[in-house]
Amino acid sequence: MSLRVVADLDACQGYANCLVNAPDVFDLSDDGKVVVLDVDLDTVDRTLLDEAIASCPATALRLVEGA
Amino acid sequence: MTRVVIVGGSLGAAKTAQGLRERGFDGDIVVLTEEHVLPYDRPPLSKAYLAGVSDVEDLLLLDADWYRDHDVEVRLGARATGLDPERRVVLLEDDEVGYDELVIATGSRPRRLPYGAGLAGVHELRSLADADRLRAAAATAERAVVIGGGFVGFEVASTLSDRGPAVTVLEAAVAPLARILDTRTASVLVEHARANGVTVRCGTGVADIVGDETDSVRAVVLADGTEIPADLVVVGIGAQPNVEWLEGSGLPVDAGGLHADDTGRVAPGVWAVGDVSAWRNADGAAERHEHWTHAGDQARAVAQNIAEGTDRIVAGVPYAWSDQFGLRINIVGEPHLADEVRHLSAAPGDLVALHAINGTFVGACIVGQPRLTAQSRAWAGQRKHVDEIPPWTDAAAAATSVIARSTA
Repeated sequence: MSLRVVADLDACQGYANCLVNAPDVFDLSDDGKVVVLDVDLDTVDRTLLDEAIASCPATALRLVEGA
Repeated sequence: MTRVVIVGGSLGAAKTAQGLRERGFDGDIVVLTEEHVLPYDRPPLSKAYLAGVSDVEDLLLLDADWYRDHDVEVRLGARATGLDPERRVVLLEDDEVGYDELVIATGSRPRRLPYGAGLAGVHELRSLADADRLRAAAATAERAVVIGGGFVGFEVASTLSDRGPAVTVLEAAVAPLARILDTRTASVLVEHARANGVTVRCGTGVADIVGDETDSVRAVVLADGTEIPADLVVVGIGAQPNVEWLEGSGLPVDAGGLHADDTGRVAPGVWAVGDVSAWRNADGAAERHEHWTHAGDQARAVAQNIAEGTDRIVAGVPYAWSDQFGLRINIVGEPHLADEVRHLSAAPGDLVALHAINGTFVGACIVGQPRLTAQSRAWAGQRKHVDEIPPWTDAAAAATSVIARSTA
């Protein structure tokens, strides 16, 4: 099983709640869009990751399993 | 089996339910909301929803499938009228609901003026129903007056002015937004609103709202007697916590909200999240916020505390945003508490005001620099000394950008 975060960059408004909650997984580009960092999500606390995704006011993040 | 009852119909309620399931809580979850719609998101009510570019489905925090798939019961039209903590029951108008753990998320409601009640065309904005009424009225209004120059007032003014009516914002204080922001930042934003065609009048209180022979609003009367003609009035003068239904319950409520410890616990088996709640902060003082992010943080903490028996607190500093006249204004921390403000830039589209208390970085008001906003949230959370923050030093290098101000 591999986990992946899919970011909808059209929906993203750069609130940055995700990177405040999970700084190891998310960053922000200079134009204010989320950047999903290249990390093995299986090594990240799943609940904190769920919380970071749920903290997005724009519902721009989604966790998918599989290739 | 443990049963969690959540009273409320907005962010705190939805995020608590979601957090409980994410934390593996497998007991019953019942959400009681007095509204007739699933818990929905309020920030768009003054923006995209009022502008008519989003609909109810867009507002739902979680859709009907989520509640069904996660076995969460939502009872619509269920208004809580009282609470008996001894028996652990929530009283409804014609029923009662027992709980093992209760989460109170009943939010806040607009403050009202002592006049204008009953006049057609006088609006407030809190609920979806309020937004529907205002949206319909805005389609035909020609002259709108917004009473109250806070963020909601300016957001409504921004959206309304895009829809057609000429808009005037009235603020009783000397400067709008000045209770929230430093005066220089506030004045940049007010001038930006003016440049977008909105009239802003400060320093004059409202004495009356008067109607015509059909009981439709005709004008807003200022304290100096000036009448400002209006066929649409929106009152946005702040909010107060919905705690009245808890009177007699023995829970610690007052005008400042429902008081909880730093983990959201009010009493054995009773928790509070969101606008209604005043959590104890690190300094031991009660703090009530009306911010989306804060309510979500509280809901997640309480969900974990219930599901896992932890004592999780909300660690981050407050964060809020406001969208108005094409700008996204980010507010980190509590700017009005700062004893020193430094401006890195002060144009409407590129505005950076950094805030400190006694040399500790505590927050910022930023437009147009998303990375700096995110960094500011981290720095403020870490209570960094200003000397460790390069932008603070950069701002100091330009002597003209330094503004010291006394604590309000």
